[in-house]
Amino acid sequence: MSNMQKTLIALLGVAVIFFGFVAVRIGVKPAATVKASPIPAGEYDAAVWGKVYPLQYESYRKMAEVSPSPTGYGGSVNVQKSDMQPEIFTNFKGMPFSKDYTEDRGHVYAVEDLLHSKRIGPASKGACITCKTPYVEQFYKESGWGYANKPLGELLERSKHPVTCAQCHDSETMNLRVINPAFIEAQERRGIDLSKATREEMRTYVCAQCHSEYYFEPGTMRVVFPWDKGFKPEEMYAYYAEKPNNFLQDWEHPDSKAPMLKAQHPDYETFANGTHGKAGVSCADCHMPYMRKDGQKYTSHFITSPLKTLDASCSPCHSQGTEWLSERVKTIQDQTFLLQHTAGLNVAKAHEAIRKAGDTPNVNQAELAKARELVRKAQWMWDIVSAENSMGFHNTDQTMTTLGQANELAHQAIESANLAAGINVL
Amino acid sequence: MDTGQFLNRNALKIALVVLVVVMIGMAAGGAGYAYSDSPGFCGSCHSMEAVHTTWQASNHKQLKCTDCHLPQQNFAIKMITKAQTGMNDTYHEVLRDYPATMKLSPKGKAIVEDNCMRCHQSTVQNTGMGAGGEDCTKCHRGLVHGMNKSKGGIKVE
Repeated sequence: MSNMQKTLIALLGVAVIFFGFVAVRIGVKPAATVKASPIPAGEYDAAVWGKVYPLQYESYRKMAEVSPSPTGYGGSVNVQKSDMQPEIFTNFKGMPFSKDYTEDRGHVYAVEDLLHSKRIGPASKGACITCKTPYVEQFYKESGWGYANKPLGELLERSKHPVTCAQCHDSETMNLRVINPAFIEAQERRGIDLSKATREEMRTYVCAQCHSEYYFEPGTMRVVFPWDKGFKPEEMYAYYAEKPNNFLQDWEHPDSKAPMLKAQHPDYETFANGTHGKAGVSCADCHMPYMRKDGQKYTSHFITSPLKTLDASCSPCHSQGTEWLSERVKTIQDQTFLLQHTAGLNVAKAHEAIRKAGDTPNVNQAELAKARELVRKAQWMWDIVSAENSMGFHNTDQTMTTLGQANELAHQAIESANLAAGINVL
Repeated sequence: MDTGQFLNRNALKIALVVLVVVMIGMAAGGAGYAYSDSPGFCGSCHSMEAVHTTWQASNHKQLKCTDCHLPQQNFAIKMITKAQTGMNDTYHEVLRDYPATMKLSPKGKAIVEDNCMRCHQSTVQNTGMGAGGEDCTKCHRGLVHGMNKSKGGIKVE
């Protein structure tokens, strides 16, 4: 064989291998399914699930890396919210949120951060564990709502894992499920049969089971969602006004002596009436977008601000490009924060005015009671926005209206305090 | 017998063989071109699954992918672009590094816009769009491939 022939054969060989590889690589598609593997019920360790669902687990683990939000609001670094909103010290005076009120670090830190929160003490009750770990499934199975009144420390000891796969997934079928009994009960009262929920609805409900406003029933510490009259701030306020389950207040403000409510992350309620919620978008559509790896499309379990996955989260519907989209979100959040901060400061001023009026001799008690009711409502309208996690994005028009009401009610409370005292107290 | 003699004696046979080879070559080339110009070929790539499915359900399903996505001024420009984009597509299909949200490049968009006008010039000639160079897909962006590119994902079975 001549050298020429050898070279030709070698070249031919290389070509066959190269084009063969290309043809096989294109011809053999990436796997589109994964076999459901029998993970025993009650397995709450995400790493065990991760062996069967590695793409999802890998993205879930990304929640361990904390980073600030690109727009400067929210984010997963546990900074004190009072750094940006010092009015928190005044408005939550006399209750634990004035001591420690940080940004959340994400699901993988749920138990650890509860353990280290300054809001928690030896007297804390089991109710606080409800949304921190799937072990709540076992606690509820063992003793029903009885777990809510047990010492928190006892349940924390048994909670070996934070929010993991089993919080939202059935371990055998991988179908979505909800386990928070408070959410299930609240939906029942609204006439919603969760067993008939579509997959798309479940892609919101699994989040809504925890990212919602709640209160503890006095005596039993049962967790209750205040949804019987609706999701809007004034509807929930009207619900609380009727003293449900003898629940009167979260605490009495030491300055104004007003019976106060503390709002808790009403992300679902706010979103549900917003543009995206009304259009049938689910939480997971934006917070858990499809990602690709090696050609395989999978649901991201890096659950965080969609600003960190902007293209994957928004581009399926919005074609204007990431720069335009992020500018729109930044605009909404900047304007919301401006009004929220103003409202928070005005509410703080109202507490001060009522305190001074209360110290005035011969104060008009009836008028003072009116001022206290006004500041309770004003702070609710501010807090239901401030405690929400989207800085206005989940429902911009409602948020702005609510903050407008908060400002107006705070001013009315100050006027009322002046009237009660008969002088200008501030 | 040297080469010259061989050629002389077998001229007719050689001419026939060459003719047959050329004919087979042309037929294969033509068939290859036709196949690589067909939506079935484009849709055979994994990355093109979603756009192929949405196109099949669209009101432009009578057209081929290449009718809109390749320039149609003349055959040479079409073939050069086809070779360029084809190599790019093959490269990323083999690496499987394509993103979940696939978008038209500015160049690809300009080609599509030109092809809109190729058919719809008369429709828009009395409007501001008639002059060409306008962004048709600014409004008609969901026309062929729908709005939601997120179809699919790994299914548990």
